[in-house]
Amino acid sequence: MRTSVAVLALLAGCSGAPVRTGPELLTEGLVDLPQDVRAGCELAAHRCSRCHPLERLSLARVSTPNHWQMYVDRMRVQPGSGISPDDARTIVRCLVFRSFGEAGLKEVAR
Amino acid sequence: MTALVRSVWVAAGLCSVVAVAARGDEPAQRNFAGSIQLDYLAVPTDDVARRQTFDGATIELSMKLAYDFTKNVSAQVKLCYGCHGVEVGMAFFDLRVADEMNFRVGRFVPSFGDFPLRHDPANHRTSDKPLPYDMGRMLRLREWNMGVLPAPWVDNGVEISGTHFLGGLSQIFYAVYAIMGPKGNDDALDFDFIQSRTPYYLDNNSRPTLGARLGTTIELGDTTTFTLGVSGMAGTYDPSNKLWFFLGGADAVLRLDQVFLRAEYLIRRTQFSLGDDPAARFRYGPGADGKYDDFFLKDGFYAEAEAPVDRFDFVVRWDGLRRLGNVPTSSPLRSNSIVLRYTAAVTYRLFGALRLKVSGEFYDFSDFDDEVAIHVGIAGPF
Repeated sequence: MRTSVAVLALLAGCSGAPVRTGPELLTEGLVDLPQDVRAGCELAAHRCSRCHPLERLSLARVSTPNHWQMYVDRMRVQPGSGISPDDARTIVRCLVFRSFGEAGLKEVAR
Repeated sequence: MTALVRSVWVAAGLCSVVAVAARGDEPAQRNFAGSIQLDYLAVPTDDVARRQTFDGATIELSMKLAYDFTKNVSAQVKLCYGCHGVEVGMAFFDLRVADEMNFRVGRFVPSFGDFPLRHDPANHRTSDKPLPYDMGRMLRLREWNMGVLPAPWVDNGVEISGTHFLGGLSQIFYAVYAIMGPKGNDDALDFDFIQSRTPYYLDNNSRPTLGARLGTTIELGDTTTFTLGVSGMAGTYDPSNKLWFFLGGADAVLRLDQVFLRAEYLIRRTQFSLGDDPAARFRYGPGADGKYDDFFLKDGFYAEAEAPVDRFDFVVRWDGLRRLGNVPTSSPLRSNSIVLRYTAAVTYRLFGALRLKVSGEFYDFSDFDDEVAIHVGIAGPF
Protein backbone atom coordinates (compact mmCIF):
# COMPACT_ATOMS: atom_id res chain seq x y z
CA MET A 1 0.00 0.00 0.00
CA ARG A 2 2.78 2.37 0.98
CA THR A 3 4.58 1.48 -2.26
CA SER A 4 1.49 2.27 -4.28
CA VAL A 5 1.14 5.64 -2.60
CA ALA A 6 4.80 6.41 -3.30
CA VAL A 7 4.42 5.48 -6.95
CA LEU A 8 1.29 7.60 -7.31
CA ALA A 9 3.06 10.51 -5.64
CA LEU A 10 5.97 10.14 -8.05
CA LEU A 11 3.64 10.10 -11.03
CA ALA A 12 1.72 13.09 -9.71
CA GLY A 13 4.95 14.99 -9.17
CA CYS A 14 6.15 14.27 -12.67
CA SER A 15 2.81 15.26 -14.12
CA GLY A 16 3.37 18.79 -12.92
CA ALA A 17 5.98 19.43 -15.60
CA PRO A 18 4.78 20.54 -19.02
CA VAL A 19 4.53 17.72 -21.52
CA ARG A 20 6.75 17.98 -24.58
CA THR A 21 6.21 15.53 -27.36
CA GLY A 22 6.93 15.54 -31.06
CA PRO A 23 8.57 18.63 -32.55
CA GLU A 24 7.99 20.62 -29.34
CA LEU A 25 10.50 18.36 -27.66
CA LEU A 26 13.13 19.60 -30.09
CA THR A 27 12.16 23.26 -30.19
CA GLU A 28 11.65 23.71 -26.46
CA GLY A 29 13.54 26.73 -25.15
CA LEU A 30 14.68 27.89 -28.57
CA VAL A 31 14.10 31.54 -29.43
CA ASP A 32 14.08 33.27 -32.81
CA LEU A 33 13.68 29.96 -34.53
CA PRO A 34 14.23 30.31 -38.29
CA GLN A 35 11.49 28.79 -40.40
CA ASP A 36 13.77 26.22 -42.02
CA VAL A 37 15.01 25.13 -38.60
CA ARG A 38 11.45 24.67 -37.38
CA ALA A 39 10.73 22.60 -40.48
CA GLY A 40 13.82 20.54 -39.77
CA CYS A 41 12.69 19.85 -36.23
CA GLU A 42 9.26 18.77 -37.44
CA LEU A 43 10.89 16.43 -39.92
CA ALA A 44 13.29 15.06 -37.31
CA ALA A 45 10.39 14.42 -34.94
CA HIS A 46 8.76 12.23 -37.53
CA ARG A 47 11.71 10.48 -39.12
CA CYS A 48 13.91 9.80 -36.08
CA SER A 49 11.13 8.35 -33.93
CA ARG A 50 10.85 5.46 -36.42
CA CYS A 51 13.59 3.61 -34.54
CA HIS A 52 14.16 5.37 -31.20
CA PRO A 53 12.60 7.89 -28.82
CA LEU A 54 13.13 11.51 -29.78
CA GLU A 55 14.85 12.17 -26.48
CA ARG A 56 17.88 10.38 -27.93
CA LEU A 57 18.49 13.53 -29.95
CA SER A 58 18.62 15.67 -26.84
CA LEU A 59 21.01 13.27 -25.16
CA ALA A 60 23.46 12.96 -28.07
CA ARG A 61 26.83 14.48 -27.31
CA VAL A 62 28.13 16.23 -30.39
CA SER A 63 31.18 18.42 -30.42
CA THR A 64 30.93 20.27 -33.74
CA PRO A 65 28.22 21.13 -36.28
CA ASN A 66 29.79 18.74 -38.77
CA HIS A 67 29.50 16.00 -36.20
CA TRP A 68 25.71 16.23 -36.54
CA GLN A 69 26.07 15.72 -40.29
CA MET A 70 28.06 12.53 -39.76
CA TYR A 71 25.65 11.40 -37.07
CA VAL A 72 22.57 11.84 -39.21
CA ASP A 73 24.26 10.27 -42.23
CA ARG A 74 25.02 7.19 -40.18
CA MET A 75 21.37 6.94 -39.18
CA ARG A 76 20.09 7.76 -42.66
CA VAL A 77 21.45 4.58 -44.19
CA GLN A 78 19.72 2.36 -41.65
CA PRO A 79 17.18 0.13 -43.43
CA GLY A 80 13.77 1.76 -43.64
CA SER A 81 14.98 5.00 -42.06
CA GLY A 82 12.92 7.03 -44.52
CA ILE A 83 15.56 9.75 -44.28
CA SER A 84 16.53 10.85 -47.77
CA PRO A 85 19.67 12.92 -48.42
CA ASP A 86 17.47 16.05 -48.67
CA ASP A 87 15.75 15.13 -45.41
CA ALA A 88 19.10 14.71 -43.73
CA ARG A 89 20.17 18.22 -44.71
CA THR A 90 16.93 19.65 -43.32
CA ILE A 91 17.15 17.63 -40.09
CA VAL A 92 20.77 18.61 -39.55
CA ARG A 93 19.80 22.30 -39.58
CA CYS A 94 17.46 21.71 -36.66
CA LEU A 95 19.97 19.71 -34.67
CA VAL A 96 22.85 22.08 -35.35
CA PHE A 97 20.75 25.10 -34.38
CA ARG A 98 19.76 23.41 -31.14
CA SER A 99 23.36 22.67 -30.27
CA PHE A 100 25.28 25.61 -31.70
CA GLY A 101 22.81 28.32 -32.71
CA GLU A 102 23.17 30.51 -35.80
CA ALA A 103 26.94 30.24 -35.76
CA GLY A 104 26.65 26.49 -36.17
CA LEU A 105 24.40 26.85 -39.18
CA LYS A 106 26.97 29.09 -40.87
CA GLU A 107 29.66 26.51 -40.26
CA VAL A 108 27.57 23.73 -41.74
CA ALA A 109 26.81 25.85 -44.78
CA ARG A 110 30.48 26.27 -45.53
CA MET B 1 42.31 -17.72 -63.31
CA THR B 2 44.77 -18.76 -60.66
CA ALA B 3 44.11 -18.34 -56.98
CA LEU B 4 46.90 -15.76 -56.81
CA VAL B 5 45.40 -13.56 -59.51
CA ARG B 6 41.96 -13.85 -57.91
CA SER B 7 43.45 -12.82 -54.57
CA VAL B 8 45.13 -9.80 -56.14
CA TRP B 9 41.85 -8.72 -57.73
CA VAL B 10 39.98 -9.13 -54.44
CA ALA B 11 42.67 -7.21 -52.54
CA ALA B 12 42.66 -4.44 -55.14
CA GLY B 13 38.89 -4.24 -54.98
CA LEU B 14 38.88 -4.00 -51.20
CA CYS B 15 41.56 -1.31 -51.26
CA SER B 16 39.50 0.66 -53.77
CA VAL B 17 36.43 0.40 -51.59
CA VAL B 18 38.31 1.58 -48.52
CA ALA B 19 39.94 4.40 -50.45
CA VAL B 20 36.64 5.63 -51.82
CA ALA B 21 34.89 5.29 -48.47
CA ALA B 22 37.66 7.02 -46.55
CA ARG B 23 37.71 10.11 -48.72
CA GLY B 24 37.21 13.38 -46.92
CA ASP B 25 39.19 15.38 -44.44
CA GLU B 26 36.64 16.01 -41.70
CA PRO B 27 38.01 15.60 -38.19
CA ALA B 28 37.02 12.39 -36.44
CA GLN B 29 34.14 12.59 -33.97
CA ARG B 30 33.02 10.28 -31.21
CA ASN B 31 29.76 9.84 -29.39
CA PHE B 32 28.91 7.89 -26.30
CA ALA B 33 25.38 6.61 -25.64
CA GLY B 34 23.68 3.92 -23.69
CA SER B 35 20.56 2.71 -21.98
CA ILE B 36 19.40 0.99 -18.82
CA GLN B 37 16.30 -1.03 -18.14
CA LEU B 38 15.43 -2.45 -14.74
CA ASP B 39 12.45 -4.77 -14.95
CA TYR B 40 10.57 -6.74 -12.34
CA LEU B 41 8.69 -9.78 -13.60
CA ALA B 42 5.99 -11.29 -11.41
CA VAL B 43 4.01 -14.43 -12.25
CA PRO B 44 1.04 -14.37 -9.88
CA THR B 45 -0.27 -17.68 -11.22
CA ASP B 46 2.84 -19.62 -10.14
CA ASP B 47 4.18 -19.75 -6.57
CA VAL B 48 7.73 -20.53 -7.73
CA ALA B 49 7.98 -19.07 -11.20
CA ARG B 50 11.76 -19.33 -11.21
CA ARG B 51 11.28 -22.92 -12.37
CA GLN B 52 9.95 -21.67 -15.69
CA THR B 53 11.45 -18.22 -16.21
CA PHE B 54 13.76 -15.55 -14.87
CA ASP B 55 11.24 -13.80 -12.67
CA GLY B 56 12.11 -11.06 -10.21
CA ALA B 57 14.38 -8.16 -11.07
CA THR B 58 16.63 -8.13 -14.09
CA ILE B 59 18.73 -5.35 -15.48
CA GLU B 60 19.81 -4.64 -19.03
CA LEU B 61 22.58 -2.15 -19.57
CA SER B 62 24.17 -1.10 -22.82
CA MET B 63 26.99 1.33 -23.49
CA LYS B 64 27.92 2.30 -27.02
CA LEU B 65 30.76 4.30 -28.42
CA ALA B 66 30.41 5.46 -32.02
CA TYR B 67 33.43 6.89 -33.76
CA ASP B 68 33.06 8.72 -37.05
CA PHE B 69 36.45 8.77 -38.73
CA THR B 70 35.03 10.58 -41.75
CA LYS B 71 31.60 11.04 -43.23
CA ASN B 72 31.97 7.60 -44.82
CA VAL B 73 33.89 5.57 -42.29
CA SER B 74 32.76 4.84 -38.75
CA ALA B 75 33.23 2.30 -36.01
CA GLN B 76 30.90 1.29 -33.22
CA VAL B 77 31.53 -0.68 -30.07
CA LYS B 78 28.71 -1.66 -27.75
CA LEU B 79 28.96 -3.52 -24.48
CA CYS B 80 25.86 -5.01 -22.92
CA TYR B 81 25.23 -6.35 -19.47
CA GLY B 82 22.24 -8.60 -18.99
CA CYS B 83 21.18 -11.96 -17.69
CA HIS B 84 24.41 -13.64 -18.79
CA GLY B 85 26.96 -11.02 -17.88
CA VAL B 86 28.93 -8.69 -20.09
CA GLU B 87 28.66 -9.28 -23.82
CA VAL B 88 29.98 -7.48 -26.88
CA GLY B 89 26.86 -6.35 -28.70
CA MET B 90 28.71 -4.49 -31.43
CA ALA B 91 32.28 -4.11 -32.60
CA PHE B 92 32.37 -3.20 -36.25
CA PHE B 93 33.52 -0.85 -38.95
CA ASP B 94 31.19 0.71 -41.48
CA LEU B 95 32.57 1.75 -44.87
CA ARG B 96 29.97 3.70 -46.84
CA VAL B 97 30.89 3.88 -50.48
CA ALA B 98 27.47 5.21 -51.42
CA ASP B 99 23.95 5.07 -50.06
CA GLU B 100 23.53 1.93 -52.12
CA MET B 101 26.66 0.22 -50.81
CA ASN B 102 27.80 0.01 -47.22
CA PHE B 103 30.31 -2.53 -45.96
CA ARG B 104 30.02 -3.62 -42.33
CA VAL B 105 32.79 -5.78 -40.95
CA GLY B 106 33.10 -7.10 -37.42
CA ARG B 107 30.61 -8.15 -34.77
CA PHE B 108 27.10 -6.84 -35.36
CA VAL B 109 23.41 -7.66 -35.56
CA PRO B 110 22.84 -8.93 -39.10
CA SER B 111 19.81 -7.53 -40.92
CA PHE B 112 16.84 -9.75 -40.25
CA GLY B 113 13.30 -8.52 -39.71
CA ASP B 114 12.12 -5.22 -38.32
CA PHE B 115 12.21 -5.64 -34.56
CA PRO B 116 16.01 -5.98 -34.21
CA LEU B 117 16.27 -2.31 -35.27
CA ARG B 118 14.50 -1.47 -32.00
CA HIS B 119 15.90 -4.25 -29.83
CA ASP B 120 17.40 -1.84 -27.29
CA PRO B 121 15.03 -1.70 -24.26
CA ALA B 122 15.00 2.09 -24.46
CA ASN B 123 13.79 1.89 -28.05
CA HIS B 124 10.77 -0.36 -27.60
CA ARG B 125 7.86 0.24 -25.29
CA THR B 126 7.28 -3.18 -23.76
CA SER B 127 9.57 -4.69 -21.14
CA ASP B 128 10.14 -7.82 -23.18
CA LYS B 129 10.42 -8.76 -26.83
CA PRO B 130 7.91 -10.37 -29.16
CA LEU B 131 7.91 -14.16 -28.79
CA PRO B 132 9.58 -14.92 -32.17
CA TYR B 133 12.52 -12.81 -30.97
CA ASP B 134 12.45 -13.86 -27.31
CA MET B 135 15.85 -14.15 -25.68
CA GLY B 136 14.90 -15.56 -22.32
CA ARG B 137 12.13 -13.42 -20.84
CA MET B 138 9.24 -15.65 -21.87
CA LEU B 139 7.62 -18.17 -19.55
CA ARG B 140 8.64 -21.79 -20.24
CA LEU B 141 11.73 -20.49 -21.98
CA ARG B 142 13.73 -23.70 -21.49
CA GLU B 143 10.99 -26.00 -22.76
CA TRP B 144 10.61 -23.79 -25.84
CA ASN B 145 14.32 -22.97 -26.15
CA MET B 146 13.32 -19.33 -26.53
CA GLY B 147 12.09 -17.78 -29.78
CA VAL B 148 12.71 -18.46 -33.44
CA LEU B 149 15.64 -16.03 -33.64
CA PRO B 150 16.52 -14.49 -30.26
CA ALA B 151 17.17 -10.76 -30.54
CA PRO B 152 19.57 -9.19 -30.67
CA TRP B 153 21.26 -11.91 -32.69
CA VAL B 154 24.88 -10.75 -32.52
CA ASP B 155 27.40 -12.44 -34.75
CA ASN B 156 30.78 -12.04 -36.41
CA GLY B 157 31.01 -11.50 -40.12
CA VAL B 158 30.59 -9.11 -42.99
CA GLU B 159 27.48 -7.44 -44.35
CA ILE B 160 26.91 -5.43 -47.49
CA SER B 161 23.83 -3.26 -47.38
CA GLY B 162 22.36 -0.29 -49.13
CA THR B 163 19.36 1.86 -49.59
CA HIS B 164 18.05 3.70 -52.61
CA PHE B 165 15.68 6.62 -52.24
CA LEU B 166 12.86 6.80 -54.72
CA GLY B 167 11.69 10.27 -53.83
CA GLY B 168 9.67 11.47 -50.90
CA LEU B 169 9.67 8.94 -48.12
CA SER B 170 9.90 5.95 -50.43
CA GLN B 171 12.99 3.80 -50.50
CA ILE B 172 14.18 0.27 -51.14
CA PHE B 173 16.88 -1.36 -49.05
CA TYR B 174 18.81 -4.60 -49.06
CA ALA B 175 21.45 -6.47 -47.11
CA VAL B 176 23.47 -9.61 -47.74
CA TYR B 177 25.79 -11.08 -45.18
CA ALA B 178 28.03 -13.96 -44.17
CA ILE B 179 28.29 -14.68 -40.46
CA MET B 180 29.41 -17.47 -38.12
CA GLY B 181 25.82 -18.54 -37.58
CA PRO B 182 24.15 -20.41 -34.75
CA LYS B 183 25.88 -23.29 -33.03
CA GLY B 184 25.14 -26.76 -31.74
CA ASN B 185 26.86 -30.08 -31.17
CA ASP B 186 27.08 -32.89 -33.70
CA ASP B 187 24.28 -34.70 -31.84
CA ALA B 188 22.19 -31.53 -31.50
CA LEU B 189 18.41 -31.45 -31.33
CA ASP B 190 18.26 -27.66 -31.71
CA PHE B 191 20.50 -24.60 -31.52
CA ASP B 192 22.51 -24.28 -28.33
CA PHE B 193 22.31 -20.54 -27.76
CA ILE B 194 24.75 -20.68 -24.87
CA GLN B 195 27.46 -21.72 -27.33
CA SER B 196 26.89 -18.49 -29.23
CA ARG B 197 28.27 -16.49 -26.34
CA THR B 198 30.62 -18.84 -24.50
CA PRO B 199 33.42 -19.45 -24.11
CA TYR B 200 34.65 -17.37 -27.07
CA TYR B 201 33.13 -15.63 -30.06
CA LEU B 202 34.51 -18.27 -32.41
CA ASP B 203 32.89 -20.29 -35.15
CA ASN B 204 32.25 -23.97 -34.42
CA ASN B 205 32.52 -25.06 -38.03
CA SER B 206 34.33 -23.99 -41.16
CA ARG B 207 31.34 -22.80 -43.10
CA PRO B 208 29.67 -19.38 -42.92
CA THR B 209 25.96 -18.88 -42.56
CA LEU B 210 24.53 -16.73 -45.33
CA GLY B 211 21.61 -14.35 -45.12
CA ALA B 212 19.83 -11.54 -46.90
CA ARG B 213 17.13 -8.98 -46.42
CA LEU B 214 15.13 -6.97 -48.93
CA GLY B 215 12.60 -4.31 -48.12
CA THR B 216 10.82 -1.22 -49.23
CA THR B 217 9.20 1.77 -47.62
CA ILE B 218 6.33 3.33 -49.53
CA GLU B 219 5.03 6.83 -48.92
CA LEU B 220 1.26 6.84 -48.48
CA GLY B 221 0.95 10.40 -47.23
CA ASP B 222 2.91 13.22 -45.61
CA THR B 223 3.26 11.30 -42.37
CA THR B 224 2.08 7.87 -43.43
CA THR B 225 4.42 5.13 -44.60
CA PHE B 226 4.22 1.42 -45.18
CA THR B 227 7.34 -0.70 -44.84
CA LEU B 228 7.52 -4.27 -46.09
CA GLY B 229 10.48 -6.61 -45.75
CA VAL B 230 11.51 -10.21 -46.29
CA SER B 231 14.53 -11.89 -44.72
CA GLY B 232 16.28 -15.22 -44.97
CA MET B 233 19.21 -17.04 -43.43
CA ALA B 234 20.64 -20.52 -43.99
CA GLY B 235 23.60 -22.62 -43.03
CA THR B 236 24.87 -25.48 -40.94
CA TYR B 237 25.16 -25.20 -37.18
CA ASP B 238 27.08 -28.29 -36.10
CA PRO B 239 30.87 -28.78 -36.19
CA SER B 240 30.59 -31.44 -38.91
CA ASN B 241 28.40 -29.31 -41.19
CA LYS B 242 25.69 -31.94 -41.44
CA LEU B 243 22.80 -30.22 -39.69
CA TRP B 244 21.17 -27.49 -41.75
CA PHE B 245 18.75 -24.77 -40.82
CA PHE B 246 16.68 -22.43 -42.95
CA LEU B 247 15.17 -19.29 -41.49
CA GLY B 248 12.69 -17.03 -43.22
CA GLY B 249 10.75 -13.99 -42.20
CA ALA B 250 8.37 -11.29 -43.39
CA ASP B 251 7.60 -8.01 -41.70
CA ALA B 252 5.26 -5.08 -42.24
CA VAL B 253 5.04 -1.73 -40.50
CA LEU B 254 2.30 0.80 -41.13
CA ARG B 255 3.03 4.19 -39.68
CA LEU B 256 0.19 6.65 -39.29
CA ASP B 257 1.98 9.75 -38.00
CA GLN B 258 2.98 8.69 -34.45
CA VAL B 259 0.88 5.52 -34.44
CA PHE B 260 2.58 2.27 -35.42
CA LEU B 261 0.98 -0.97 -36.55
CA ARG B 262 3.54 -3.76 -36.82
CA ALA B 263 3.41 -7.43 -37.78
CA GLU B 264 6.11 -10.01 -38.34
CA TYR B 265 6.28 -13.72 -39.09
CA LEU B 266 9.34 -15.94 -38.72
CA ILE B 267 9.76 -19.61 -39.54
CA ARG B 268 12.76 -21.87 -39.00
CA ARG B 269 13.34 -25.39 -40.30
CA THR B 270 16.01 -27.01 -38.17
CA GLN B 271 17.57 -30.36 -38.93
CA PHE B 272 18.49 -32.44 -35.89
CA SER B 273 20.57 -35.52 -35.22
CA LEU B 274 18.62 -38.77 -35.06
CA GLY B 275 21.39 -40.45 -33.10
CA ASP B 276 22.12 -44.17 -33.04
CA ASP B 277 18.78 -45.15 -31.53
CA PRO B 278 15.96 -42.80 -32.57
CA ALA B 279 13.37 -45.01 -30.89
CA ALA B 280 14.96 -44.31 -27.52
CA ARG B 281 15.78 -40.69 -28.30
CA PHE B 282 12.39 -39.45 -29.51
CA ARG B 283 8.88 -39.61 -28.15
CA TYR B 284 7.19 -40.29 -31.49
CA GLY B 285 7.92 -43.19 -33.80
CA PRO B 286 8.76 -43.17 -37.50
CA GLY B 287 6.39 -42.09 -40.24
CA ALA B 288 4.41 -44.33 -42.57
CA ASP B 289 7.55 -44.91 -44.63
CA GLY B 290 9.33 -46.29 -41.59
CA LYS B 291 11.72 -43.34 -41.42
CA TYR B 292 12.12 -40.71 -38.74
CA ASP B 293 11.87 -37.09 -39.74
CA ASP B 294 15.17 -35.39 -38.97
CA PHE B 295 13.87 -31.84 -38.64
CA PHE B 296 11.33 -29.69 -36.85
CA LEU B 297 9.61 -26.45 -37.78
CA LYS B 298 9.34 -23.54 -35.43
CA ASP B 299 7.43 -20.47 -36.39
CA GLY B 300 6.17 -17.40 -34.64
CA PHE B 301 4.42 -14.12 -35.18
CA TYR B 302 3.49 -10.89 -33.53
CA ALA B 303 1.07 -8.11 -34.33
CA GLU B 304 1.05 -4.96 -32.30
CA ALA B 305 -0.26 -1.41 -32.21
CA GLU B 306 1.55 1.42 -30.49
CA ALA B 307 0.13 4.87 -29.89
CA PRO B 308 1.42 7.81 -27.87
CA VAL B 309 -1.02 9.92 -25.89
CA ASP B 310 0.50 12.81 -24.01
CA ARG B 311 3.02 11.32 -21.55
CA PHE B 312 1.76 7.81 -22.20
CA ASP B 313 2.47 5.21 -24.86
CA PHE B 314 -0.06 2.43 -25.20
CA VAL B 315 0.78 -0.92 -26.75
CA VAL B 316 -1.39 -3.93 -27.43
CA ARG B 317 0.31 -7.01 -28.80
CA TRP B 318 -0.67 -10.50 -29.84
CA ASP B 319 2.12 -12.96 -30.43
CA GLY B 320 2.74 -16.65 -30.55
CA LEU B 321 5.06 -19.55 -31.17
CA ARG B 322 4.47 -22.98 -32.65
CA ARG B 323 6.70 -26.03 -32.86
CA LEU B 324 5.96 -28.86 -35.26
CA GLY B 325 7.93 -32.10 -35.26
CA ASN B 326 9.29 -34.87 -33.12
CA VAL B 327 10.52 -34.09 -29.62
CA PRO B 328 13.01 -35.74 -27.29
CA THR B 329 11.52 -38.19 -24.82
CA SER B 330 12.33 -35.79 -22.00
CA SER B 331 10.52 -32.83 -23.55
CA PRO B 332 7.12 -31.78 -22.16
CA LEU B 333 6.18 -30.45 -25.61
CA ARG B 334 4.21 -32.46 -28.15
CA SER B 335 4.65 -32.83 -31.88
CA ASN B 336 2.40 -29.81 -32.34
CA SER B 337 2.80 -27.31 -29.52
CA ILE B 338 1.57 -23.74 -29.43
CA VAL B 339 1.79 -20.79 -27.11
CA LEU B 340 -0.23 -17.65 -27.67
CA ARG B 341 0.29 -14.51 -25.65
CA TYR B 342 -1.85 -11.40 -25.21
CA THR B 343 -0.14 -8.26 -23.95
CA ALA B 344 -1.37 -4.84 -22.87
CA ALA B 345 1.35 -2.35 -22.02
CA VAL B 346 1.64 1.28 -21.10
CA THR B 347 4.66 3.48 -20.62
CA TYR B 348 4.68 6.73 -18.73
CA ARG B 349 7.37 9.31 -19.40
CA LEU B 350 8.59 10.34 -15.96
CA PHE B 351 11.08 12.98 -17.05
CA GLY B 352 13.41 13.38 -19.98
CA ALA B 353 13.61 10.04 -21.69
CA LEU B 354 13.04 8.01 -18.55
CA ARG B 355 9.98 5.82 -18.88
CA LEU B 356 8.02 3.69 -16.49
CA LYS B 357 6.92 0.50 -18.26
CA VAL B 358 4.01 -1.58 -17.06
CA SER B 359 2.57 -4.54 -18.91
CA GLY B 360 0.30 -7.48 -18.30
CA GLU B 361 0.55 -10.69 -20.30
CA PHE B 362 -1.68 -13.71 -20.58
CA TYR B 363 0.01 -16.90 -21.79
CA ASP B 364 -2.18 -19.53 -23.42
CA PHE B 365 -0.08 -22.72 -23.55
CA SER B 366 -1.16 -25.87 -25.37
CA ASP B 367 0.97 -28.08 -23.11
CA PHE B 368 1.05 -26.26 -19.76
CA ASP B 369 -1.27 -24.36 -17.47
CA ASP B 370 -2.08 -20.90 -18.68
CA GLU B 371 -0.20 -18.16 -16.86
CA VAL B 372 -0.31 -14.44 -16.18
CA ALA B 373 2.83 -12.33 -16.13
CA ILE B 374 3.22 -8.76 -14.98
CA HIS B 375 6.17 -6.54 -15.82
CA VAL B 376 7.00 -3.31 -14.04
CA GLY B 377 10.14 -1.61 -15.21
CA ILE B 378 11.94 1.61 -15.73
CA ALA B 379 13.99 2.28 -18.83
CA GLY B 380 15.79 5.12 -20.47
CA PRO B 381 18.67 6.11 -22.70
CA PHE B 382 21.56 8.26 -21.61
